[in-house]
Amino acid sequence: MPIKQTPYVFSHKGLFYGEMHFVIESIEQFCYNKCRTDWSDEMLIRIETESEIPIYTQLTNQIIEGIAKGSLKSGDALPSVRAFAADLGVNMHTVNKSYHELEKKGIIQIVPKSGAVISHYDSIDDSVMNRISDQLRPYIAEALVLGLDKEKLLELVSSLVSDIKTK
Amino acid sequence: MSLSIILTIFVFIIGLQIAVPYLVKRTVIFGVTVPEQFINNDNLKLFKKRYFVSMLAISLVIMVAFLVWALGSNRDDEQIVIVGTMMQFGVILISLSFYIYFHAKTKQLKKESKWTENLKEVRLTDLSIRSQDEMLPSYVYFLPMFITLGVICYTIFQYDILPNQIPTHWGPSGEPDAFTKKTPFTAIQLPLFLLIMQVMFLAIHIATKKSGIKLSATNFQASRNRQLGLRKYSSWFTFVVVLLVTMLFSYFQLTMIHSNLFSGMKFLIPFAFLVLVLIGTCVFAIKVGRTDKGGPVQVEGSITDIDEDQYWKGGLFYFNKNDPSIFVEKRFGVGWTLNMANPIGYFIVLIPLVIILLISFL
Repeated sequence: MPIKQTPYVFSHKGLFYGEMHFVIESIEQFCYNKCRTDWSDEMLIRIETESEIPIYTQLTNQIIEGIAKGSLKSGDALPSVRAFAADLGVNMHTVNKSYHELEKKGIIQIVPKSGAVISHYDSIDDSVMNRISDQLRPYIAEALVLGLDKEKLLELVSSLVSDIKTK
Repeated sequence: MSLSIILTIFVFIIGLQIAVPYLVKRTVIFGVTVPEQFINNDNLKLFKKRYFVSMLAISLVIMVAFLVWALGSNRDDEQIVIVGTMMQFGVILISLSFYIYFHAKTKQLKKESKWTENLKEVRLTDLSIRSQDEMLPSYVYFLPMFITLGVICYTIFQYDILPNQIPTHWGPSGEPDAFTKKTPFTAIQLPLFLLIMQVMFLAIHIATKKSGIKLSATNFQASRNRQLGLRKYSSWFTFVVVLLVTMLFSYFQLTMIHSNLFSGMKFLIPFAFLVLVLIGTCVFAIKVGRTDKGGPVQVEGSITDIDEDQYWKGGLFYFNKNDPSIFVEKRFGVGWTLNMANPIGYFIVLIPLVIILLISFL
């Protein structure tokens, strides 16, 4: 559940605090406004190190869910591989692998020098439909075998969609 | 004169060393990672109190003994400085020994209490955290460099009126006490050193900016406040230090050109520099130390952060090949330390040193 973030503020007041703060703020604004994604809420990525799911897959899945939820929008820039790896404390190769996987799926575009940008999705082309269908098929078959009927399955999908979009 | 300098430094060192356990990141106790759920354990609080009391007692004894000795039968300046400096190192060494002792005890307590069993290890980051980073922009470091270039140009302009003996060292009284022959190179030697240091500070700033913002899964808000606070305040503090060093060195260079300048303040200016830097250090340490204290311990029961202990050799040196960060937060203290596994860190520290040594000996 997204928590509204309190802005991180100087709490110490001193001589010329107001003037100095204004000057520094203006310099910062000038510097940062050049290229900045507008983050209104936090976008948390959580990795379980002892899970069977490899780390790069966990990353890929969470970024995809973040986009599905709307926390990440098309045009937003993901952090650089180095910054992301340093913040998370994982190897740069791991993050790189995740970004390349996302690029292969057509979800992001890796622009040299600028980093990774989330793509725009206009129409669903056939190749995407086929790929999703191929991915879903084994899970649906497994569900059918284990006793879920078509109705329960559709219910499950529906609840997952709402869960992802609103969590 | 030297005595007052030594005493001032003494008081600051003692004050900071004593307070360290209360200023470090709340989940690191004497260099041992303790899950958020257990940081208020009574034994741990006892360790911290014992460290505080023992350090305070021993440091006061040493300081008083030194004072008595120094004020006794005619001690000359040089003796006072040598013994005083040894005492300061002594206090730091004692603090280190206490740290090692309590580090071992905490580690043992952690193992016996099995705190990390049954907790799922989780790594966390926030994609938006970089946009909340409030470190100064790197180009502010060009300002002191312009000042240095200005001083160099002015020195060259005034080359003819420079004395034939260029000072290379200033004593505690603020008067120069070692000289070298005047050549176009030695005339600007001091501001050159200054420039090299400014470049080093800039490199440190950039390296810190690129280093990882380590957030905690068990207490997101506290870790966020601490990391952002540490980055912001250390970037401001380093900038203030660069400015003060620039002013100090420029002052020395200018008094070399115009020996009557500031004639009443020869002792005052270096001493003021010292006091300002020490006060700045305390302000920095306290501000950062408070960023993650006092908040509620709101933990999602079954998870814990990655146990970093494995990367901290001897509890003091960080070695992690998988971490691309150049600097990481210190374990026992407030500030940054090098990631020994990243070669860039060595360059930033060693190259300016090598250049300065080359210049001094050529």
